[in-house]
Amino acid sequence: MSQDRPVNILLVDDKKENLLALESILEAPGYHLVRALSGQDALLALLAQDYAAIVLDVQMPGMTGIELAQMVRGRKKTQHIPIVFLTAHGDESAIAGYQAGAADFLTKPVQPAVLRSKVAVFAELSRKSSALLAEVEERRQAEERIGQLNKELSERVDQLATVNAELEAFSYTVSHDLRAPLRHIGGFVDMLREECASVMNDVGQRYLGIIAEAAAQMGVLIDDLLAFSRLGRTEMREALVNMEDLVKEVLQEMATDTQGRSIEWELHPLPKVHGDRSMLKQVWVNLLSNAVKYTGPRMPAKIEVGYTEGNGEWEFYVQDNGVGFDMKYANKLFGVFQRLHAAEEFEGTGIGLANVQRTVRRHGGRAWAEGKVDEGATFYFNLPRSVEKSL
Amino acid sequence: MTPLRPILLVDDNLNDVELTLAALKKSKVTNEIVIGRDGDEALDYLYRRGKFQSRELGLPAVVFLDLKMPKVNGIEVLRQMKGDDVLKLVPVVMLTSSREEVDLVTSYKLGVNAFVVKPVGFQEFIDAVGRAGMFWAVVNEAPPVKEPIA
Repeated sequence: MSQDRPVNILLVDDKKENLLALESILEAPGYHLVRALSGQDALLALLAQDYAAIVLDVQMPGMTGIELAQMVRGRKKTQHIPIVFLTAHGDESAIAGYQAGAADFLTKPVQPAVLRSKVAVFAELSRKSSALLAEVEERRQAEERIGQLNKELSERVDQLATVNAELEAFSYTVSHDLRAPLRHIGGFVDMLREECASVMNDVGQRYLGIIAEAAAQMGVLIDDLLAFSRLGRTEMREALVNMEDLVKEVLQEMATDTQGRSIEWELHPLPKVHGDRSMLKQVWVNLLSNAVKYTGPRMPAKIEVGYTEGNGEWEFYVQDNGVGFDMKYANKLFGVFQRLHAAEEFEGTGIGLANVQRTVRRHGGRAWAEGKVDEGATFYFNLPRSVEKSL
Repeated sequence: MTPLRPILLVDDNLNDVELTLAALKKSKVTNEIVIGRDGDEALDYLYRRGKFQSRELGLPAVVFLDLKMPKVNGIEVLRQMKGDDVLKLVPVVMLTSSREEVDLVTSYKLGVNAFVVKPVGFQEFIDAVGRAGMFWAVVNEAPPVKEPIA
């Protein structure tokens, strides 16, 4: 800090004893005192470094104090340096002195306390000025850095926009072009059945059935994949979402699927969170319908929904007493189209949990699960608790 | 009973054309079906020019339009039809492979009368196409139109 660095004070007087006197008055740890016996010496000293103040005798042979002051004022590098004139004379010098740019005038004999306090003011000024300049330079560099970072950011944003556009085009193509042949397979298989019903045996019919189903399955996969892809790119609409109401809504909509099942629901109160309502609803739909599905063999099925408050986040869970899963495959659960059960056991394409993970990630959280084969499973997801999140 | 006007089916994919014809037949839609292989042919038919210059007078009851076609695509045909004072009265059903939102919005903004996604499952396909055909070509009271000025 500049407070610690001593400031330079230039003392100019043609008489050595005066300089000594000045030095003894001004001697202080914060000052570095430099002597000059003439105007020329003073100018040389001024070339070498910056000074907080110049204490100057008016009456000097050769270059007078006034002339020196004019020169100091005339140079850009030194014009800011305050000059304290010491004079034995009366008023006429004063006016000329001020005109030449003196900051102050003191008559000899100088009162030490007065000289010290005057110099102290200028020294303080000089320190503050240096500090300010240093800060300005720091700010300028920081701004430059920011400008650079902004440039990089905007390049990244452009790249991202391009990638998104490419993905969009890709999805569009998948959408149209992959579906048409599927439709043809399905359609002509059906027409084949009709045309050749009389000549085709059971085996042939069965084979045709498998072909038609495979085509249909592929259609579902394409739809799922497209929805998953879109999930990463749609704009989120943030609002305050009442999770408890949301879960109740989902349960109501699932009523037809759960008809005839004996399910014991344990629904704990849930908080309100910031997020996209329809996306969060989809998370609940996926988790709750999974719980319902995988507790199929249970009578009664037990499904519990609740939350805990963690470190600046809410942790939601859905726990069931269903068929569970082997923890050693836990990391596969949330992969796209990853399943831990065969299609004949439980239907589904394996995209639901991938959607959950994607959605929760977009909200700044993550999803995970714990389970044991035949002893049920618990699915968790957390959401950060910051207010006014920008998504 | 007013005579049935023809249905103009515009689709570049022959398999789709065959399936659509089968679906319409199963749904007992007996209107004559005219096929346009792409947007150009569709417009040629509507304006009675090119290979359709000697078609019978009378605009179709409905146009079933596929979206993705070479040369002039479905959106373009839709735009031209709805931009023509006479042709804009002819009902247009977009019959297409997917419900990409951008297509939906554009089509409806241009004034399409219906947008039907061709289902992958054939039974559903028959239902969808058959019902659309039955409604627009038979049940619906088609607007009275003269020939457009080419």
